[in-house]
Amino acid sequence: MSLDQLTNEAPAYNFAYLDEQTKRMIRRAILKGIAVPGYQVPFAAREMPMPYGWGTGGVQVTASVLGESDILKVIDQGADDTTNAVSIRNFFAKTANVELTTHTSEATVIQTRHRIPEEELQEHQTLVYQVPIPEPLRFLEPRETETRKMHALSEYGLIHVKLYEDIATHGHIATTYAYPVMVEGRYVMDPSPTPKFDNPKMHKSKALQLFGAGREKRIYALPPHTDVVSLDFEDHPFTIQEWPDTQCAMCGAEGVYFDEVILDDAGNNMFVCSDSDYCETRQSEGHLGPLNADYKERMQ
Amino acid sequence: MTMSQQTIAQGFTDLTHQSQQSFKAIMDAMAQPGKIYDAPHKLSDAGALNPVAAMVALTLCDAETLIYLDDTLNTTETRQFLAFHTGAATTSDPQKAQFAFLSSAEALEGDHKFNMGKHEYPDQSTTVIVAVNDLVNQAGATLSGPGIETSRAFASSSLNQKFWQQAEANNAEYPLGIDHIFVTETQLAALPRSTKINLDPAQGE
Repeated sequence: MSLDQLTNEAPAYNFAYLDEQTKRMIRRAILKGIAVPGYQVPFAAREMPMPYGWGTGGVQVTASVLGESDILKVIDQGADDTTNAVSIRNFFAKTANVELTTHTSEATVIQTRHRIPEEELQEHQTLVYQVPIPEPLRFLEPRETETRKMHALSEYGLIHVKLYEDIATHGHIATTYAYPVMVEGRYVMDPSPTPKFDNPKMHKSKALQLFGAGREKRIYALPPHTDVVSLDFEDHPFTIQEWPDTQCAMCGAEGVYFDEVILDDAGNNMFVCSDSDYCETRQSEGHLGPLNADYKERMQ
Repeated sequence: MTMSQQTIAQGFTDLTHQSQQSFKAIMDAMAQPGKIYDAPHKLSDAGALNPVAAMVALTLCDAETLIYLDDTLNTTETRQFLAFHTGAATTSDPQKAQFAFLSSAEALEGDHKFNMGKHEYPDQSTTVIVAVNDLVNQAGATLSGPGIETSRAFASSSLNQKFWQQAEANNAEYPLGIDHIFVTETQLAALPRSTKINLDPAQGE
């Protein structure tokens, strides 16, 4: 091979970028995570060719479970077309050459930065979360040695105090994302910073859910049909976000998680589905919202 | 001394993809306790290991793990096969092993012999891979818990009452405990520590 060829050929990667030894180490951690749902398994996270905060934990988990026949979907805040989702999708297109999709129902592996698709996931699907801070007690107790003990003893009084302080200050539990959950009555878990709107979807989900935190070097998991209960009080029960009398400006959907889009400097706004695939599928099925370009035509 | 010309049986022919397919089966089995999966790859002539146990070993073990072999499996051929393909060392101390390969469930009867993990680190436990004759989703034990929608009947002619009592005691220590992977010549199923076990025959199907 000539020097010219060597320098012009793209570097060859192992399938899905990670070497086999790293995948085995991550796979062992995933199995432990599945066996003890909600418990954070330490793992030797590698440096990835992207910065921390871009989902290096989720990428490593995805790389370790992904096979050549898998169909991958990547979402960032529900959308397939935002920077983080596009770059991670391109990463796996290049290193694993797997089939890609934006359709929730077609995907076998879905990597997500914080949202769970509106469409119900199925048993053959795996949802991989990118997690920044896996420890739900971290902002209450900075010492890892102490939070380990608290989990070991199932000592979760502190997190209830935190929720109580919300009520004392705001009159309601003001935590809207990374809302702590109790897994199988044993471990309090950070559901990654998904909006609390998605917490109920984690409960007894048919899909396997895997969580990867790259910088913090932790993996945890929820097998299908696992009890995931959002913490609350009898007199202040857990509630999810609601948008009364609001529909998606593009597809007319109601009761989904919305993004607010500011339209001008006069304060006009619109709400659109955060889940871009859900919204596009509805539009292709003929559901139109009032600001959809085809809406007026339809109304005439 | 005669020079041994013994050959070591082949491992995965396509390491990357075959170990991924094998892991996927093991992961799904662990995530859905008691559900029986066909092993995607079977590695024959792996010393005294059955072909699916050999698949599990090559998928999960490497130089970072210590392997325990029971007396039946602890042969020169098995050790050579594992050393050549995984680089894993074997240990005679069940408490030190990350993975234990057993020729029968007998080694599990009685007291907690293998590492159950620590309260701060329940993941530092032993995963046991047990060879069994058969796996069926019929009356036997009724499993429930994470990974199981309501309940699942699960049995094997190789798993006796004593084993199931041990498994119940194992679950009672949750989140400590060992995780089981059962392997036949062609299939596998898992029983993690999180699975609740009901042996009441009235509850079976």
